[in-house]
Amino acid sequence: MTRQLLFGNHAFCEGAIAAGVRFYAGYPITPATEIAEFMSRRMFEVDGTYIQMEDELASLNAVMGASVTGVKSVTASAGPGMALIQNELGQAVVAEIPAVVINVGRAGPGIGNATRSGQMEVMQARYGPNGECPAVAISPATVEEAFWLTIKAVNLSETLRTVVIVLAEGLLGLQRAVVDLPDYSTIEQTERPRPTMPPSEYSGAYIANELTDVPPVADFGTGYKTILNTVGIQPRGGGDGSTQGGRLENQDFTIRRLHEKILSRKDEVIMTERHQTEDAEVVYIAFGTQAQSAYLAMQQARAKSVKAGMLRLITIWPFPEDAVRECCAKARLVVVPEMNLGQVRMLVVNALADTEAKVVGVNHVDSTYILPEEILAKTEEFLP
Amino acid sequence: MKSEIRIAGIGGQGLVSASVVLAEALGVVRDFQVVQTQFYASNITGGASCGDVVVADENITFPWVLEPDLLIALAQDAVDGHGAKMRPGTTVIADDIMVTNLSLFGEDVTVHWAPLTRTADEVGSRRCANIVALGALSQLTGLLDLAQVSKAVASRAPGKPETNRRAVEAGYALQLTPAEGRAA
Repeated sequence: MTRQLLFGNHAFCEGAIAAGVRFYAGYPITPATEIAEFMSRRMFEVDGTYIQMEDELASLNAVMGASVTGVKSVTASAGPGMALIQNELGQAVVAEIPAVVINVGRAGPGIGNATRSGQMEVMQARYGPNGECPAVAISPATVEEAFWLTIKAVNLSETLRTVVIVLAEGLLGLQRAVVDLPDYSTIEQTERPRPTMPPSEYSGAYIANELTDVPPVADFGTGYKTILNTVGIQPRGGGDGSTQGGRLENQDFTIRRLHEKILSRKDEVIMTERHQTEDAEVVYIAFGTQAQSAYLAMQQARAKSVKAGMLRLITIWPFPEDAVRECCAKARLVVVPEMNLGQVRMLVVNALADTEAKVVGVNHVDSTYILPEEILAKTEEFLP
Repeated sequence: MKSEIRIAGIGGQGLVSASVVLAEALGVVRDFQVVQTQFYASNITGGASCGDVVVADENITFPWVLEPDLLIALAQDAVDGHGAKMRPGTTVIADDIMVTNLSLFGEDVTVHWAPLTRTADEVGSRRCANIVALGALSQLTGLLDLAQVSKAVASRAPGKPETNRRAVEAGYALQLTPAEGRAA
């Protein structure tokens, strides 16, 4: 263990390296710039590759190119950079190329406010790319978690053969905390499924028969004929169009499979943290750095004899609707504090549609963090 | 023990850097839990800016400085921006030429005038007023001895090591006494 004062943006990098990432392509953008800057040094120290690209689109394209050779690859961006890469993001998802994208959220539309923080890309993470593209997004709350959840993101991207977004915030990326970093050789790394048959029997990277399948994919340059399908959902399977590829109603099957391979592994993908929700009549649901305010609000509410509980969404996508329902089973009031105008609140409302619970938000879009007092005031205002 | 420390002034005074050195000293040289955060405008120099450190001997649940126990004010902007947040019983170290008006502080806030910028000038570089301030803070609070704060300065602010060493020592040697009255 090495005790050090670790910068949030560097924690993402260290997590990626600990998980085996050896390729970074990026374009600097506040408040994610230090990721590119730090990786430009660290990649060389670990015999990896760093490329500063001409823009964010090229960055994710380079990441895809590196990943198909079997090298775990990452990029990071923020604000308008995340808007730009949506096409590539969807392409990586449909081509089933493992990749991790770290979004260190800034505030506001367009160029926005570069040095200020936000949680404004919850919906973008899921609905940003075209064509009913599934998402896996996880959200760290602390610098230490930025390290561990980036490892988790890399591992999930491999086992699921998809893009995993680390949905973070400027408030976290630009924060430092004392962290005990482990020996990286002790970190569990997962690998994408690779073919076990000889190259002559390999029929490509999309041979799936079940909706839950994550098909094996051969790394480029290993003697297997692998075409990563840039056209996406046109017929896949055996190159000759035979039933070798399994299902031939490819569009329906493939789009559903892209989702189902993730949803069928909820136990692996969905992470939440619960505090005192068993008897909770008031539940605070929060994510990222704002979960810390929600936790303090819960403690302060309990001190006032309010039966309060707290659910932290670590995984944002797939949305943990089962956890929301379980934690709010006895809830009369649900308060969702978030640094946007109610993106997670909308999802909570949807999850609790069949219940009597009232769902309200505490929303900041001025980049200031939400105070526990504001959550308590909302509780008092609405508690029936 | 939990303390919220804010080093505030205007962009370019090394406020964020000072807070990083302080966090290193408290969290790595010493063994406290620390979280360091910052605020700055997008302009490189000028504009309100501050570096914050939360230090505790147990896990820190809330990483943000809400109401500082200790404010280092390196410019009048710092007082104007943060003075009202100082609760009774808290402490301020105010630069005696960059800060001119203390009227925002209540009488129950202890304000120390400190020649941080003037001492930095004597050491040879006004830019190390932030390091002078860390020396003064260490001596005043007793959170760090000279060796501990010097070690963090050497590891986190390695440029101009000799100037920084003299700056932290000069800051540690300052005898601070509470200011009387609040009028400018």
